[in-house]
Amino acid sequence: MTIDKRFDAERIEDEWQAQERALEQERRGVPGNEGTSRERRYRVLARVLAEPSVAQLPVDFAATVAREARTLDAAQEAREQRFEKRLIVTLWSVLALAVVVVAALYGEQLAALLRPGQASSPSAAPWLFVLLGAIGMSYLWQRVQIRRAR
Amino acid sequence: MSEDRNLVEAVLARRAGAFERLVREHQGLCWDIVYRMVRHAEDARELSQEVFLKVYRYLDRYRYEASLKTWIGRIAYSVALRHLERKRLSYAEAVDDDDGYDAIGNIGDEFDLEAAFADHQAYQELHAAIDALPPVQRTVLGLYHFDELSIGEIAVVTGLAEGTIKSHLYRARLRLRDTLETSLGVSHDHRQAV
Repeated sequence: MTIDKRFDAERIEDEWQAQERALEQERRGVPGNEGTSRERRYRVLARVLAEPSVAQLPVDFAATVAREARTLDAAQEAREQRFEKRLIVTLWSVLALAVVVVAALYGEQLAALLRPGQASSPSAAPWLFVLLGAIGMSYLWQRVQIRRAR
Repeated sequence: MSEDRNLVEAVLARRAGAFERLVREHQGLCWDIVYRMVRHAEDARELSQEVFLKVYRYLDRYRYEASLKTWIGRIAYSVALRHLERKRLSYAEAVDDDDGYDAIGNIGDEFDLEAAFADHQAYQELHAAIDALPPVQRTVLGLYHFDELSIGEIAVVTGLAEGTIKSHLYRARLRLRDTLETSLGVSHDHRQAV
């Protein structure tokens, strides 16, 4: 059997338009006996499709999900804190190891520098400034962090 | 869109009650999508919760390209679709323009449709036919008729082309009209043989 495709497309378009008209009429609240019989059937369909589903979410759904999200936040924060602690411990361990290595390699020279009368010598002065500067910067950074946390 | 922006910024700043408000505003659409897709109330509740926890987690990725409603709808659709895939359930059927063509026809005007439809049996049969539609078709139909989303918005939510959505709507409504007429015992007067 052969089908005239143009005729086919026209009929489909005509049906689509009837479906859309019926939906628009139903939304406008057009009385049930108006329109063609085909539109009236589609209007009944539109009415049924506009009904909410019988099953619904529990009334406290939003509050429950928000509580769950807060729990996730807290868990995430705890994970981050654990990671931060481990990182600090690792860095302190590396620093301690570095001190031991430096002491082993340059202990003699450092001890000589720290002997009374040596610290004020011209060769030791720049290192003293660097040390004081580092302590000062570290202190200031700590203050900024505390203020930010407040 | 500015309301969306205010709400999103409030949630991202972790302001008290902001996320709960976001959920309350969009839970209806999320439920409609998920429940229409999976058709199982308990699963749909769990999946809806999963949807909003994803929204909470990935909200910083929302770029305001679509409305927040459709963005959340898209997540809901993806979560439901993945659930169906996990359960190996068929969720769509191939779009074939010839299918359902037989139902096109005119029906005699003398039939009192309203009175006949008052019959509870016909109403239930129509609901059963809606339930029997493939999940994607049923969801597209619900988004269009109940949630009143435009075809463009449904395209954003489902990721389907607008032509495919129109085809789903057309075929589903045609099929349901046929069910309605069959259950009401209406005869097709001028149905033309194809």
